[in-house]
Amino acid sequence: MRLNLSIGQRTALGMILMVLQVLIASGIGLLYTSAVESTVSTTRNGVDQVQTVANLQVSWLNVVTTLDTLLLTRQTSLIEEQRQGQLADFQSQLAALGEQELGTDPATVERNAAIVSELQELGDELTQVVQEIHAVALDGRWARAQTLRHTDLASLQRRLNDGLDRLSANIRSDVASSVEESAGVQNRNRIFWIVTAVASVVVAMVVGHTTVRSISRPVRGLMQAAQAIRAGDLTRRAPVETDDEIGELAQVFNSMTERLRGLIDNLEERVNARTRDLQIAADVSRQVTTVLDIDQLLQQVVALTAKNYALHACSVFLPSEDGSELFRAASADYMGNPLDVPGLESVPLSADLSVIALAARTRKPVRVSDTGEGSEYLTLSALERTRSELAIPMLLGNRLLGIFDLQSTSSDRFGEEDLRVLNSLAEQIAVAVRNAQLFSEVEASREAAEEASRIKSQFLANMSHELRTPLNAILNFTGFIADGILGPINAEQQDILQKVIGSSHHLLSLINDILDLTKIEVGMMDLFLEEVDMNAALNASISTAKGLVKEKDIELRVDIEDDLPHIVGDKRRIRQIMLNLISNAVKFTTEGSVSITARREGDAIYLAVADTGIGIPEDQRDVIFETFRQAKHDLPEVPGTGLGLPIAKHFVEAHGGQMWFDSEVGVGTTFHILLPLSAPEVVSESEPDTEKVPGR
Amino acid sequence: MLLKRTHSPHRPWLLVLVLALALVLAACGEEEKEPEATPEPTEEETVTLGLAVSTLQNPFFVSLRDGAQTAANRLGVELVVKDAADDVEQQKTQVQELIDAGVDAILINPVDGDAIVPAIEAANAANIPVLTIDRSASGGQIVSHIASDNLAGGRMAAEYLAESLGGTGKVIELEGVPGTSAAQQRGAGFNEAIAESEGIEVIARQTANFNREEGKTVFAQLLDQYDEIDGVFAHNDEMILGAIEAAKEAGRAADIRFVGFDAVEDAVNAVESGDLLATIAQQPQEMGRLGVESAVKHLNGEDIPESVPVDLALITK
Repeated sequence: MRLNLSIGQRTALGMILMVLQVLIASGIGLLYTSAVESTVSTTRNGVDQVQTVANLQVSWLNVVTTLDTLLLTRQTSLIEEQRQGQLADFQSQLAALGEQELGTDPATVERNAAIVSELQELGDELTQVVQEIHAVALDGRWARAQTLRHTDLASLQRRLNDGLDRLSANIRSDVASSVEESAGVQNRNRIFWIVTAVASVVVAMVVGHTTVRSISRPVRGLMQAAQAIRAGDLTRRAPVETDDEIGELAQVFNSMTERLRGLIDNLEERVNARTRDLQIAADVSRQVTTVLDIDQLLQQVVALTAKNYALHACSVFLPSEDGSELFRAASADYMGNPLDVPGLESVPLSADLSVIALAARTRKPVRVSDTGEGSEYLTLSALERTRSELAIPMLLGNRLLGIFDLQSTSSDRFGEEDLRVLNSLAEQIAVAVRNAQLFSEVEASREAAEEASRIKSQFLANMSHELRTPLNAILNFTGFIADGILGPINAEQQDILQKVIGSSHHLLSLINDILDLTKIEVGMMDLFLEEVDMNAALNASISTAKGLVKEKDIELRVDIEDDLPHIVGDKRRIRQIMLNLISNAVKFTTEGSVSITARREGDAIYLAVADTGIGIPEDQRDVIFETFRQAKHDLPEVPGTGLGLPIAKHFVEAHGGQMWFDSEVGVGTTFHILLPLSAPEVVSESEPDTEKVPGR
Repeated sequence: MLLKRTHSPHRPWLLVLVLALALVLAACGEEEKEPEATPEPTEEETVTLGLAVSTLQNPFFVSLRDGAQTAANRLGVELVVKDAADDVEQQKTQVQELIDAGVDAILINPVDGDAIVPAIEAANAANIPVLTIDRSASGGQIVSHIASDNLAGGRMAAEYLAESLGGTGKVIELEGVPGTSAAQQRGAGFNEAIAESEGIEVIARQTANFNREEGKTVFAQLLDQYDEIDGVFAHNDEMILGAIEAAKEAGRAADIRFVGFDAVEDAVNAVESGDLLATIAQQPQEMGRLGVESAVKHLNGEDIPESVPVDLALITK
């Protein structure tokens, strides 16, 4: 029996059932109570009736007792008393008995009535005998009185008592049976009531339980389904067991879950597709950004794209220099193989029906979802079997680097997501293309610069040589003259000659420097390595320094260790280094001192030239090592070619050593050198060793 | 699957209901018991009782018969009375007659308690219940025995006599019919009690067969025999009255204290006149009534006591 009731109806029904049960149980309880009541009343009646009988017995007993007393004591005064009191009482009791209905059921009442009438007859007889006894006693005939008492009266009395006993017995048994019957009814009712009460409780429990279950079970089913779904199992459905509100809820829930599952599946699919696409895009990007050759790069791009995205064709169009047309730089087919599309080498920017041109002009992606629709569709850049096409402009900043063109044989191949992914891919490709382009540009300019430098050096070397040759001649010949080889010369002539020689020397040294530097720059400067006695080399430099210092009123301090180890190096160049530094120190110091230090430090020799000069400002630090440059300073024009430091640095480094300096404006500068004892390695001259110099 | 499961919560519910109903019906089916009440005679046929009395010459038994008859009338039963005139054989025949007549029960007042046994046995064999009144029988199956407590009566008489004699004296016992329980018991009671009075001597015991004439004759002889007689106890009034007559004729009545048994009319008068010191009142009517009532009760299937003692009372002036 399944009732398709709503929850409200069911609970109402349950309630009604329970109320009914309560009523039934109460009703039966009432029955029980009323049975009890009737029992009680019957019993009470019975008790009353028995009491009446007993009263009669007592009344008679009084009579007899008095009679016996009379016979014993022979007190005739008792006779009157008895007559007035007890006998009358006895008779009235007897009469009263006759008026009552004795018993409960009619048969008993009738029987008892018969007994009572019998008793009344007896009573009359008894009264008569008592009166006879009285009479006889009054006559003094005591023996007779006694005899009457013990025979007639005794007999009648016995019969009276018998009758009364019978009456009592009747009443009692009647009451008893009534009570028993009542008790039976009571019992029955009580059992009935208990049973009903128990049944009610059980039924109530069952009904309650059933009702609750009918609600809670589907709810639980629903909850379990919900939990399973929450845990991830979207195939779970809530059981629909009933037609009520819960059932409806379950149905709605299920359809919602179905929908959800569909959406999630759909979403997952899309996410997967997207992830795949992004992955592909990332892969493509990664692969192509390592390629710097532009043609190779483009070919790889289109090949990878076409292959990974299963496209009919993928192409890259690059703008011409003047930007008036886009020429096809690379194409690939769905296998990734280079694709040749004859007849489609370039597209004019102004082309009407070209997706490519349109994209280039608008600088926005252009998508054709179905070539079949719309007669405006271009056949210009498309291949025959193309059904949908996407042209994405590759922009970097606001520069159009090219068009990224994708074609598919299925219509509607490129959705919004595809557009987004491919757009970002296009951006990456744009960057890669730009990188490649920049790289080639850089390469080209670098080569050009190198070429230029090379030419410059070559020129300088030539020029230096060309310059030096006549200079040597000048020096030689003036020297001859100064020495008087060509005849005596006077002091004035000598003076002028010396000036000429001096200037020539200066010019020579300048040319030498330039030549050196050029050689250095061109990479032709070699060291003449031999064992060098440092002390000797330094001494030579010092003596020169002394000469320089004398002219400027600067103190020269020398702190050179004795017995400096011999190093492997170019003696001449070492002297040159020291001379350059000292000369610089003197040049840039107006007062104070110039100190020269040399000592051994480990497996190197430490040299330092310190001055108390103007110092080198921060922003000029790099400048001083640049050729032809002097750091900005406030001193009047300082003579010098600006070649000293770069040359010195170069030679130090060629020895495998390091040169650095520290300086403070207005305080002074100190240049430090470290020269290793062992043979210097040939140091590459194209890369400055910036790491080796501390403090930079 | 779901359908099956939803049935199960309903089934136990139904079971419980069915159980409850079953219990209820069972409780309803309790029977009421009818209580027992009065012993009413069944209205099918008229009950006939037989009364075989020893002798109607004795006013005692007349009263007895009267009592029985009244009771019978009241109860609506028939009473057939047979007078054996103290003849043992006669009584046996009469009992047989009653058996043959198909009475429902027989009330016997035996002339002789031993001799009547075969007759009783015959009644037993005929499945007729037998009750004895006043005197017992020594055999056969007796439903009930209604009699005075003759033992107590004897004692009562003895005690009164001894008391009135002042505890000393010579007394004579006039016995009743020797075979009767009445005589035996009265004598036993009397002698038992009299023995307690050490001053009292029972000088003679003689039977006068419950008869007045015999009592007179026997006592006259005893008067001749004994010069000193202080008191006489006779087992019944008839005998003592006879004795009194004899004593009066001998002129010695004033010296003797007479005690009788039965309290018959004449005896009561004699007590009043002073001739008789005392008598023991029985309730012959009562016995007759009780006999009939007991018989009827028994026939109705009621239990009746095996012996129904009837009270005695001492009657004095």
